[in-house]
Amino acid sequence: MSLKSIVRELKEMRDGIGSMSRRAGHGRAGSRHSWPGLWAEQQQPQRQGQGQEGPQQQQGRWANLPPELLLDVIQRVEDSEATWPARRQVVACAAVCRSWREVTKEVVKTLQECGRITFPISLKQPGPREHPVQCFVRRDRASSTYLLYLGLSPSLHGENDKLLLAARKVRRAARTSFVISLVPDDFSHSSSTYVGKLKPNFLGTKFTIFDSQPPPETVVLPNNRPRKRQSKQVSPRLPLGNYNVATVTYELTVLRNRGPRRMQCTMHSIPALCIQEGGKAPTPTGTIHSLDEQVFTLPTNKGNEPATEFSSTSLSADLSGLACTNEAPLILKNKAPRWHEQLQCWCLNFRGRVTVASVKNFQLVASVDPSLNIPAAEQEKVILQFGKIGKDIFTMDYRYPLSAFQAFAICLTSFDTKPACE
Amino acid sequence: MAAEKGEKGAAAKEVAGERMVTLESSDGEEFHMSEAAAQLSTLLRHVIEGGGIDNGIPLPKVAARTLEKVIMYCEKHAKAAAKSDSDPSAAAGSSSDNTAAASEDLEKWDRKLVNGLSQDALFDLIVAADYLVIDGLLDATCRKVADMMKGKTPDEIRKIFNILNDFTKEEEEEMRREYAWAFDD
Repeated sequence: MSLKSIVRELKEMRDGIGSMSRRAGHGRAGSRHSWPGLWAEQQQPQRQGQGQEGPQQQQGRWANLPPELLLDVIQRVEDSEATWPARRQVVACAAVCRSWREVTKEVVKTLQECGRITFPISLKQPGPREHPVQCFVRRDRASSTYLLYLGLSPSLHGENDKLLLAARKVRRAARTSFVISLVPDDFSHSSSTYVGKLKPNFLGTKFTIFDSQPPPETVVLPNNRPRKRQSKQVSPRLPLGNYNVATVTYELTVLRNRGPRRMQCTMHSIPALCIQEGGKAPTPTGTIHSLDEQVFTLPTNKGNEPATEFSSTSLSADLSGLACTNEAPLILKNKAPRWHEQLQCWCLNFRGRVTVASVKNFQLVASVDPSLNIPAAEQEKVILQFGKIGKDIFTMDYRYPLSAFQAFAICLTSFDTKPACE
Repeated sequence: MAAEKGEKGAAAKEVAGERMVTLESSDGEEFHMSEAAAQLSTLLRHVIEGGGIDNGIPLPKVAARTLEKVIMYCEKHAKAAAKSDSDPSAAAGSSSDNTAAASEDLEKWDRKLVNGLSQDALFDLIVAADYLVIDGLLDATCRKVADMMKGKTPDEIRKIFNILNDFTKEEEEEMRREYAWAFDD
């Protein structure tokens, strides 16, 4: 980079151009510590000294509030705005400028630690251990859209309901799939709001859940099939992919249509051992569109393809495949309802959160190998509960180690099971 | 500028039976403060205990108009503390109402103090409270800043505090997505 262009850039900064326009070929070096993995290390060594000082010279005094004081202030905001919609204040703080963003990200704990959903990435973090996150789903049949909200049930006027995720049933040829997005009006795969999808098999007895990002601490086994089309990338640094993170299967029992179905979820990216006391489920902490810093390698295939190593700095890989943990995966099974002789129906104790009988209602618990020595109390915990409370309204309660995204995807399978299963 | 060195022989001056300390602001102005009030500042407390304040305590990081507010705060709180200490009914533990009302009044006073400040003055006061380690004042000022941000969008916050948006275009995109999700209007 020539001296002339450096001077020109500094002049632009001085003229108070807020959002830096990116010229072809380079982004900003600037302050690197808040954005691991968001972009490649495109260095501009001559500017390193300047990059940090330039904008700050133009900043008012408040941008330079000593970090511990900024931390104090933002901690107060975090403490006082615990629930939505007020919690958006915390997100606002993170969008003011870089130093504020860094401090806010430091202040806000993961969902598991603080029980609060804050940034979109919270939707991919495991819920708390002690108590479930309570949500509800609203189905709009006309548009085949399913909306996931935070809260016990729809509020009276609906204005205060926090929308978490949206899904739409999309028909392509003979198959339907569900596309999951951050917003209710954009379900394009190449959109920056794309979060994942759900694909059934032909019979509608098995569903695959795909995450647009590989969860941390997983290894990606690439698809061997040739890709039908190049997956579009929002920007060279944000590869979107489809990572197979879970499989949900439905089976009829010997009672066939007269009894409840048997459900099994294999969570490829979650190790079974994580439900042990002190265990830890993979928790992404970046942004919902970046890869975490960790480098993950693709192991050599049987076909002797060379192992490809890629990292957050890789620019162009089309990344798709099975994302799995190195250990035995967590398997969830539905709790078998009991036959209530007097009421002549199958019953599960939903503790008041489900009030309308429906074949879609279920409770999932961990199905663990006895050799893992997981205490019975842990095995009894209902990790995901889903059920009807009214016309087109369902509640969804999930907890550790599932995330909102995974829970929602699993619940969506309940809407799509075919006659073969019913 | 400074008081004559010979005058203050004692470690602290006495005024009307109360021990006073002298503080010198960054712009050379002299202020007097009761020692009791000075105790609210952990920094000043250490300095006083350490002795050597014959000629006053220089505070090169605190300007006069800020120091004035600091002293106001400390004197007010020191008096309030002294009052509740000497209140016999408080000692007897019977009038929790009084102490509750008194602390509510004090809070109101604090709010009035910070609300009356310009933004610049508020900034200076936070920094001074931090430097002098006056917990209560730091609390009140930080709370004020947090309140100022309530219900504001990032743009509005930037305007209020005169902060430049220093995100790259990409980062801004990310921010806008997050923000759109959070503010789903």
